[in-house]
Amino acid sequence: MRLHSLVVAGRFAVAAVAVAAGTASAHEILHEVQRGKAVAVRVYESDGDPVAGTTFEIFSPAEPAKPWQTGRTDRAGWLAFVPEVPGTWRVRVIEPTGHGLDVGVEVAPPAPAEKAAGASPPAAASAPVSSAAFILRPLLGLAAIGVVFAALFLAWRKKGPPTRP
Amino acid sequence: MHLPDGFLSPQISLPAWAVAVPFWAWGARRHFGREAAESLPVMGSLTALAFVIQTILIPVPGGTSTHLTGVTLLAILYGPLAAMVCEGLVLLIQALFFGAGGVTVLGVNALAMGLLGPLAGWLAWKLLRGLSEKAALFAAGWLSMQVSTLAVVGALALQHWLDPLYFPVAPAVTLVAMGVPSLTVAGVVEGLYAVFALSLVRKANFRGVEA
Repeated sequence: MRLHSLVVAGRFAVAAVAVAAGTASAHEILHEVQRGKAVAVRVYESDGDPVAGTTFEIFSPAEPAKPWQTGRTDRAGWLAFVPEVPGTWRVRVIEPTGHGLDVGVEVAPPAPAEKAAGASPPAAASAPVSSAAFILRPLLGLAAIGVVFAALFLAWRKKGPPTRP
Repeated sequence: MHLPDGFLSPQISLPAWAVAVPFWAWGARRHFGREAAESLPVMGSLTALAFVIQTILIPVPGGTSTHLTGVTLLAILYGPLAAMVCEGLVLLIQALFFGAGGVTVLGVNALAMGLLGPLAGWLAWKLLRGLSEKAALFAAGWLSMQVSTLAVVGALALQHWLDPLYFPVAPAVTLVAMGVPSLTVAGVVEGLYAVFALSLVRKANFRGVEA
């Protein structure tokens, strides 16, 4: 009798452990941290202000018709994604005003050693626009406009006034 | 207001190019020929000024920004087609060298900011200048900005209706996000700019300025 009670208790214990394990696996969210896996993109206005809290979409080269990831830039204008395949990942940042960004971010295939270690493909880094460029770029635009109008003006001056029939 | 590449599908951007190119050709032939040589320095200066003021971002509540177009004055002085050609040049330089606005959508941007807006401003100037010149100039600048904004909103709304994958923001949100800054800030500053800039041009007494 006593043995029977022990067997029943043992079965209850096993069942309880099994249920507890199952419940835990259904509800517990685990995590791992891997550094250097993500591609980070900072989005900013031409005056240097971050494009913060703005909707973005990321498209994988493996599935270009459906967003791989959507979200909003953080308050410093950053967005990030973890590429699973190499190629050109399309990043779109969409302001409701129609301003925005639609660029391709190149992700290179991982080196063999990195591949063995399970690292994601690295992305090519791009340098931010320097503060000097904020001044020089408008000057470049002004120069281009000046060249177009000056060339036209000089060309017509050289030919002289139009002859009237 | 400068739409970038990728926000509009070829269903909109290609017809817009097809409409814009004849206007550019017509405007170039009419306003940039040999007989217009005297007005080219002023036109070039105003185009350069328009380029500069389009790069100045005016912050508006909500974390976004707006800017002027500065081409209404070109429409008032030389006609809407001249404004279309000059704004086309500005947009091309911005798209090629600065990433502000796209090349594929250049036709849409030029029709909105270079033709429809300045045309509305020019009409307002023609209608109201008899009443008060300064009020007419202000109204021209303000109206030009509203029409340009509405044209861009219309293009984005049409795109959302055709295929929201290109532009996922609902038209009502776009209308509010673009319309409120345009009505309250950009339009007012554009109107003031038109008044101020024309008075400066007249004081300078440039050759080739008729208005």
